[in-house]
Amino acid sequence: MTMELDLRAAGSLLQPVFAVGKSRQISDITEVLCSIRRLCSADGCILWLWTEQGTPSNSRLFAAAEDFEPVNGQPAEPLWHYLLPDSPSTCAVREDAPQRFIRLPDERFPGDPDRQAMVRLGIRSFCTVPVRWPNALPAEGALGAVNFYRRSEEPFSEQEFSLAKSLAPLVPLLLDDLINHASFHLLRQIFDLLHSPAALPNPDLGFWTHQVLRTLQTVLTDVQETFNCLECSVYMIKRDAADGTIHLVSTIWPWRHRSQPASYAPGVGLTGYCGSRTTPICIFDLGRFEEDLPHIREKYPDIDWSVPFDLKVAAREVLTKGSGDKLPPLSFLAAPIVDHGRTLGVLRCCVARSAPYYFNQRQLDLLCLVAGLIGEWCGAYFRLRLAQERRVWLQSYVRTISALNGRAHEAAVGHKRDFESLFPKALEAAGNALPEAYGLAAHLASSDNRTLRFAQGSGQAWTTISSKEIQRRQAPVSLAEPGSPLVEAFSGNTVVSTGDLGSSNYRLSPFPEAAGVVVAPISSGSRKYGVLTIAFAPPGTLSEQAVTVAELLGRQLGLYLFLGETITELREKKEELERTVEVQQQAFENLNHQLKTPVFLARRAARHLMSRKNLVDTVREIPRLNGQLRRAEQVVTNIRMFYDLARGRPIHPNRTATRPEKLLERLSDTVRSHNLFSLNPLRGIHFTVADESPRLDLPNVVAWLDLELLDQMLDDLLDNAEKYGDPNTVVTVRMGVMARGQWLYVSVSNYGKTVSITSQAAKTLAERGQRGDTAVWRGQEGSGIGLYIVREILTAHHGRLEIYPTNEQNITEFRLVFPTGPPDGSHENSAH
Amino acid sequence: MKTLLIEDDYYFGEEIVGDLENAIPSLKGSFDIIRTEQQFKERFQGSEPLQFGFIILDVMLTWDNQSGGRPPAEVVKGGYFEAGIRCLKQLREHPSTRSTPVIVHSARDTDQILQNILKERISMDGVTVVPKSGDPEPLVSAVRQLQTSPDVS
Repeated sequence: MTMELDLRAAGSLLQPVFAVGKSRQISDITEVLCSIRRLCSADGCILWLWTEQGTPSNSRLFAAAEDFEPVNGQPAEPLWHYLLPDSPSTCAVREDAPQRFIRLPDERFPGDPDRQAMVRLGIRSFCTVPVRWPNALPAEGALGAVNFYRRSEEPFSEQEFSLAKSLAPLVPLLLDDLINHASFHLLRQIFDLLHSPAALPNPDLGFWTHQVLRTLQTVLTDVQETFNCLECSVYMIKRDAADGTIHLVSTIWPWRHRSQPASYAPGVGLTGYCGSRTTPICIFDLGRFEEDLPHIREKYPDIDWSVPFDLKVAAREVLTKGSGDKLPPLSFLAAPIVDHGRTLGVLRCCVARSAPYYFNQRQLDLLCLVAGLIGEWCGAYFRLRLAQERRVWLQSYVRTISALNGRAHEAAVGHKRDFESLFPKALEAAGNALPEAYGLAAHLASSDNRTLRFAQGSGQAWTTISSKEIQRRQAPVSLAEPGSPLVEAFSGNTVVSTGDLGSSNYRLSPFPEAAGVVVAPISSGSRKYGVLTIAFAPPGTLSEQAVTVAELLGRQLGLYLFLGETITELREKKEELERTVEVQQQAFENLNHQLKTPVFLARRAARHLMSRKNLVDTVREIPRLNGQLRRAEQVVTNIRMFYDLARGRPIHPNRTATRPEKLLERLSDTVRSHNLFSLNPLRGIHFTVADESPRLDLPNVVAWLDLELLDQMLDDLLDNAEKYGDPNTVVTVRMGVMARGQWLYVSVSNYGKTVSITSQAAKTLAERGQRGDTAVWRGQEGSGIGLYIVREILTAHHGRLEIYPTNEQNITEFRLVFPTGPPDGSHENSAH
Repeated sequence: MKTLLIEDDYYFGEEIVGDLENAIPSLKGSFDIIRTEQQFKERFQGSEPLQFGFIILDVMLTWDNQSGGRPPAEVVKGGYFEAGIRCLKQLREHPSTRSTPVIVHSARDTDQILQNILKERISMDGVTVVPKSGDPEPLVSAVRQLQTSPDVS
């Protein structure tokens, strides 16, 4: 009988072993129990396990899996209960020895909670065998027990009890094997799925597309089948969410009529806690939440329970079985989805649909591995997407900058100077290229380089604050402010980036709430114009290309400003050149006109002379002819000198020693000539040599002069005096000495209030092409080179031209100052 | 009928009057001389009848406001090189001289003068350009031609 039983047992044992070898579900442990039950001729068999590691804290046995022979063709109602200390099974485990009970209920255990159930199921006897985990040390004690029940009056025989004692220890071994099989199978299945071509990330389709969601749904289904759980969900942190809230992305959730929480803030509930703390969570039974809360709080401190969710009610509705507290353990597992140390979300599952009715550390480890695979897959997807998005952003940035360059080119062609108007588009382009940037600002240095004034802003930071705040943030930044990244970037003409602004003074600048900032100089070469600031709000981080974009944009803006500056400069030079050309053209026209008129008139005078019959008429024509020839000569000499000077050829005066009386004689001749032939007799200008001349009391004074050039200068001055003096006034020529005879001067003074010379005009009047302002706007004839030539002639004499602005008596004086003595240049630097 | 001579050079003005009076005795004592652009503006600022047989107009004219004060912006901008063109424009706008023959008499380049007249969109009807020279004959011929024209009485 014993041999026969052993052979039967050995043969039947192959059945569950094979079943385990093929199984991919942990719930197949029921099949194992069924095989063992039959071998022992029992009506029922239950695997009792100790709850692990103190959850619940008052450790107890609970029914992990069970198998009962149907009663009257109806499946037996599951026990689904815990064994409190005062029960036969507890006793067996506590004593770590198999027990056999002949008749139940056993009066030795009056508080046995199974009593009613056993009566209901008609159980009359049972035996219980304590079990251990494989490779467990003896000191670890029993893991639980396997109970064998019988309804018949005949109790378990000694052999059957022995068989039970032999077979029961196999159950944990097979359960362990089942878990291993299922784990490897699940991981392999998910690995294959996530690495299949269909699941390969395709950013072109966009994220959270049908492809991605379908893949996740398949993963969840696989997890559900392996764990035999009711609910399995993936929650992810939104990429642009700064608060770390996780949102439901995919779920297997049978409570269709109940709403599942769509999101969890950091630390809120077990799911939010798992996401924010990156901590795996394993709760044995949420059905006994109130009892176990102290222990849960101890294990997972600071959980925020503000989101109410009664899992027990929900589970009861779904399971549609059990009443009161008759529910299997509502176990809960949550594993963080992590990629390269960054938490992306949470994978969670809860409530077993059938045996085993609990999730323990083994399942949690498996869930963490699955979450790891999801994390790796999502991370790769995110990185690929980010890389592509950055490529797109950069392309967009480059395109925008190209467009801006086009505008700058057009502006340059159109000679526009305002290149600052390109700033808004440029900042917008940078903002598009760096989506993590929440605020951009451009500051330009003031002309005195003391402050950086706000020039342009862009980004979300400027749209979420009041106008008063905007005004405050746009205040100038002092370049003397210590520790400011703006000042540092501008002063050093270098990019400054910092991720921690907590201890910096930068909080006073445009983005006080910034977590990080990149400041690039707006410059072109060594020319500095200002700074560009790109700020990142918490918990934003600086991307790799932020510095590059900031640096490029800073240079770009600098280039625009440099272009504007250069264009302005070129334009001014062009205008100056045009003015010079115009002045030269006018001078040419003027000289042409001034030359033609006396030549024409001289020709006419000559013609008259030839046609005159009497001497009186002839004599009358001679001064006129002489005057016109003198005018022509004066113009020709001016043209020649102007031409020579324009080509850098200096004037070489032919100097001779000239005493004052000789000079006076020369002056008188010139004055006489002008009186005889004035430019416009109708103006009534009279020329005279002042009475106080000559200075014959200066016998030792000798000036070395070119008298021809002196005539030229005097003619120019007298012509000017006649043109610009008031009608019917006297132009006075004087001669005198200065600095005790070291300098000799000849002055021409005219009276006139309509053409006056200011002290400012006097400084530049002798420049080439310059004429007195009032002379210009009075439309006076004149080339503007007369005084220039006079000055150059005097310089060649080591002398100088002194112009005395019109005084209160309306007298304007031009003084030709010569050195006295031999021409050795000793006076060149003498004082007046 | 009066002849209007607009010429800023005193001596040239005398020459022109002398040459034309000698060559065409009927013009003797008919000359009314204006010597600056400012005088011209003062003369033509109203709409009073100003009847002239013909007008001889120099181009380069000074403003020469002896009483002081700033000249009009166009004078400041255009300068004295274009003064004659401004005067011609005003002559053509004035009801009395709209069709009076004008001889533009200048030492400036003729083509340049014509260009400036066209630029100002002034009609060339009744306008003759005679370059200044040492020979009085071209101007005398131009005046004679006007004298024989039926429009000049």
